[in-house]
Amino acid sequence: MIKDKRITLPIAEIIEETAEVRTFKFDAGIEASPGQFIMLTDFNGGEKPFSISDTDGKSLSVTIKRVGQFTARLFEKRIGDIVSIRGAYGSSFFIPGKNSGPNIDAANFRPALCGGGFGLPPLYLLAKKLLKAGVPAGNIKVISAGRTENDLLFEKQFGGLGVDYTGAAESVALMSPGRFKGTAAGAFAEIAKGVTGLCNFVYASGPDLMMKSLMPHFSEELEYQFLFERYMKCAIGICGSCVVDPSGIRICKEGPALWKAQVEQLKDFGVYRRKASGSIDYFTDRMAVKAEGAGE
Amino acid sequence: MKELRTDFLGVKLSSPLVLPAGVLDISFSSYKLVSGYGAGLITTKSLTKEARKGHEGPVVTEVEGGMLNCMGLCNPGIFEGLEEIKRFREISNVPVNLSIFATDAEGFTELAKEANSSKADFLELNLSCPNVSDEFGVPLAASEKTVAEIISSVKSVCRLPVIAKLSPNVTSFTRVALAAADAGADALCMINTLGPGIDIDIEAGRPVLFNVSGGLSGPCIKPIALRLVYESRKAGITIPIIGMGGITSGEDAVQMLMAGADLVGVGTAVYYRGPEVFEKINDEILSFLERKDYHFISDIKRII
Repeated sequence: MIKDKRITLPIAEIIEETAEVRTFKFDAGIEASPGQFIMLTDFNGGEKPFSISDTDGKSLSVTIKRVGQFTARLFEKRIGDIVSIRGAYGSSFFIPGKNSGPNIDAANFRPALCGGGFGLPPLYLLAKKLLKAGVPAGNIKVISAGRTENDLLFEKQFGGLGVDYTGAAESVALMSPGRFKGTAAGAFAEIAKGVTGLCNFVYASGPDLMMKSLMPHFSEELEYQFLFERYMKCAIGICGSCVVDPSGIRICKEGPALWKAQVEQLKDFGVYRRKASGSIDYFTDRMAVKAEGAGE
Repeated sequence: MKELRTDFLGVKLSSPLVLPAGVLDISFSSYKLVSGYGAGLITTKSLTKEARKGHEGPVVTEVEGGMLNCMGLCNPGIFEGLEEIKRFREISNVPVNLSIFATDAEGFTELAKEANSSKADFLELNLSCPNVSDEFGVPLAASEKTVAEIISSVKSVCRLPVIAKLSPNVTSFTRVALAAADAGADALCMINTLGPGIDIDIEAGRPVLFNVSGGLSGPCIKPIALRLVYESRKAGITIPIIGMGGITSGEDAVQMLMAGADLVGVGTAVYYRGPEVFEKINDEILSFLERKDYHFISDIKRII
């Protein structure tokens, strides 16, 4: 019996989020939890991992940024064009009362959801599931950080959920409700950590350096989960491409959502990642952190 | 007291289980993960002179009874690969089998010289990758003459024991095995993946693998792996054999030892049972020894 089923199907819907970001929706009944990902191919060369940005058990969406050849080809696709997906894979985010984690009930759960640029989509599915689990909308602080205001993804979607949303970008001209001039870490320090220590859990999703920049603002006891992205090939835990150092955690199996205790062990976090060949690629600056692997 | 420890070419191994080339072996962290679960010998990804990114995806597809893969010899190149071994050496004493790939005797010999200064315990020659035929033609292990040339050339420069990894996809397997042994190989490793084979996505009307075909591994190839090990022994191979192909359980491993293997590779089973599979199979072999009142792995080797 084959357990790793592939589903090849037409694209049901394409939503333009920004000029460079689109959501692709499929009528696929895949069981998936926030943080998990699928592998997607069009059989024309390349199969890439994408975080699930929405699912209701009957349909599933992934939100894709145009960054390289593969995604550029996806952006030429129309509704009805055939692609192939497999998954969902990997670990998922903590939901109080649903899976194991800290002993906090939904009513007292006050999470900060910090996303950098393209890291936002999986946090949208997370916010929906947190609300469904009974976490009050007012307890959920979403910090969306981008290079410019135009890079702030899913603003409308988060607005629709009634959660406490802040878009952070250096390009913000005036401080206003829902806007912060600065980085994700700056916004976190000001908004989520706050003077009264409002949040008691942090989820982060985005480039390594963005997630790492949050950490100096965490109190020692603060529990968190970070969503990791590494070069993936098999996505089923055998090829070793996405294994992080030095613990041997496979981002496709034990990740991509890693707990604080796992993150603290990492030697490569924010320092380097491995390329398709397995060779080490050091982050020299933010530009090195791309959404679609470091092209060799 | 039942004993999994075994001796291989003068090196003591805690278990007869081997991580083969191509599975969870790109970095020292993967070696650590797998050796932590009880693998007795770690084989590196086959290293080439320069880094290779491998084939475009999809590179794996599960099929009935196994898996097709066409990773395409992705590896960080010999220089960075040896660094991974060095990093592993700092944290573990589990022996390492350094796998290399080249296209001719000269290429292998050049890499073998690099291996001399490495921290590896053995040198494995990958003579049998089935997934790069578009680039390099038929596997080297198809020709007795080529195999013999490569091995003698490598042996003349290499201080490490040399293991030849053979291809099952040849017409006269045992002749190639004998040629490898005659040329001075210290041990043989068999079998590499079978085929290659093809999987087709009928909705898209396309091959699933971008490389079109990929090597077949997993439980469905075990009977062939057992036969080739058995026939190698029948044909007079006396040097140690690392037997692999579809080994997923302790029973499978016992079969492989009985067929004539000295060590047993466990690769695709990581997909079915996780990296913990090494610990599980070790326990299952011990239970078997217990139940049948054997004491050592050597008690069941070549029993048929």
